[in-house]
Amino acid sequence: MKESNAVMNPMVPGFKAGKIRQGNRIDESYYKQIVGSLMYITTTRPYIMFVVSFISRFMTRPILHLQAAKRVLRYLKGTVDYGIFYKKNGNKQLVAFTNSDYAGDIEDRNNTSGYVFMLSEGAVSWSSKK
Amino acid sequence: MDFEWGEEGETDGDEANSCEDAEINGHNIADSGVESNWDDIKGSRDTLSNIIHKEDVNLHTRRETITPSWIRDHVSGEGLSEEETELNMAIVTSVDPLSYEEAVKSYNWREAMDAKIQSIQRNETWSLTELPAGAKKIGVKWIYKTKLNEFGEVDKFKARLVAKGYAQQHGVDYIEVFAPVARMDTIRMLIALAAQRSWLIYQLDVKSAFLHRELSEDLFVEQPKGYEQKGNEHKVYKLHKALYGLKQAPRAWFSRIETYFTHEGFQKCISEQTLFVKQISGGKILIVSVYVDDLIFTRDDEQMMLEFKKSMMKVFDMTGLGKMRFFLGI
Repeated sequence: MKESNAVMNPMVPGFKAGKIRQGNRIDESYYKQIVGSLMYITTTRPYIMFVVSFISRFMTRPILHLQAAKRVLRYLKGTVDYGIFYKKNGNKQLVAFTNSDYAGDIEDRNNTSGYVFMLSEGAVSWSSKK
Repeated sequence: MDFEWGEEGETDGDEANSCEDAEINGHNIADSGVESNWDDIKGSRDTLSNIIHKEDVNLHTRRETITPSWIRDHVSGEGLSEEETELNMAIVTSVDPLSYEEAVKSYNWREAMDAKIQSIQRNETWSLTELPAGAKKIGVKWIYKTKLNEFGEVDKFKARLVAKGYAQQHGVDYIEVFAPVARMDTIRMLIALAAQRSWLIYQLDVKSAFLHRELSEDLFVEQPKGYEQKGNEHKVYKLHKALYGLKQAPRAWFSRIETYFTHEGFQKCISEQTLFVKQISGGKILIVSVYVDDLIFTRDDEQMMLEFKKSMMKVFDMTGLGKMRFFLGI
């Protein structure tokens, strides 16, 4: 991954994948390690929350999903010095955004919903849940 | 290789014996005659043992082993050369001592241990008694850790006395063990709020956090290594306050600090157990979040902050870390 090129988004827009039963088996431990590391890094990076929650659903038999996981790493490569910045004398109001994806999962048609709360122009609480 | 050669004597008889033995195994060293010297025998022994070794391997053909899937991502040291093993050891071994015997050699660690024992005694954590019949004593152990600051430099040497809590039995030695910690969201919210209002965030660290709470159960621990009382070596310490490693230590600590905050007129947040807010007339506010033994607090009034800090330092043994810079290792 050292020589990979950075990408502009953590996930290809509109990328969908369910459980895949064909294809070369890849090392599950390796995949799990990547997912675990990415989960840790969501502490300061709200914008990868969705994709992390997405790839963590395929811990057994990941195939195409490894590419998705690696794409997140490539995205992070381009944004290593990003963090959350709370602005001094920033917005006095608590701002919240929420969105949901109706029947977005191609396997079981469950919805995915997410939210982010911003205070002083920085995110303080976020979630993305199937 | 049960091929016994015994001591190579200089006597002719012994040498002859050796030659006979060698001939049995098909290696004739008798060419050199009775005069054959020690080196020859030694040489032939080496070749012999090689051959025997090879036969051994052939006899017991190695069973093929398959690594189970759950340990495939582990690396074993098998098949590494000696140099590689040494390199590995250098990487894996931490500089922190593992035992009391190792630590006592270093001045830094001795000092750290002395400070720890003093802190325990100052807190009246325990008193020396005879072990009552039927009671069990819990072992204690020294743990050493070099603490680093945010630049990765050595910050301080920390010696910690822990009780071997795994020996405790549920229902006998402890009942409740749960203790809440602050959620990451809460901490971020506190930071955001402070930024928005241009407040300063301060950090407090409680020295020996778990040694502050009175215990409800009767517990006995053995005397720590290196600090046994002369003439009283068989006695045990009866614990008055919790010790690290005890199952109930975190819970005991949290309820202690909770009582303190309530007493001081703080209000506990309904949805977050670890957030305490104190409001006084004129809209002055002080917010404190507790993450086990790390506290962060922010305020809009200098006076109130100083009062709080003073009172905290009086009640608990605290280190004021000043303005927040490095919290929970993040």
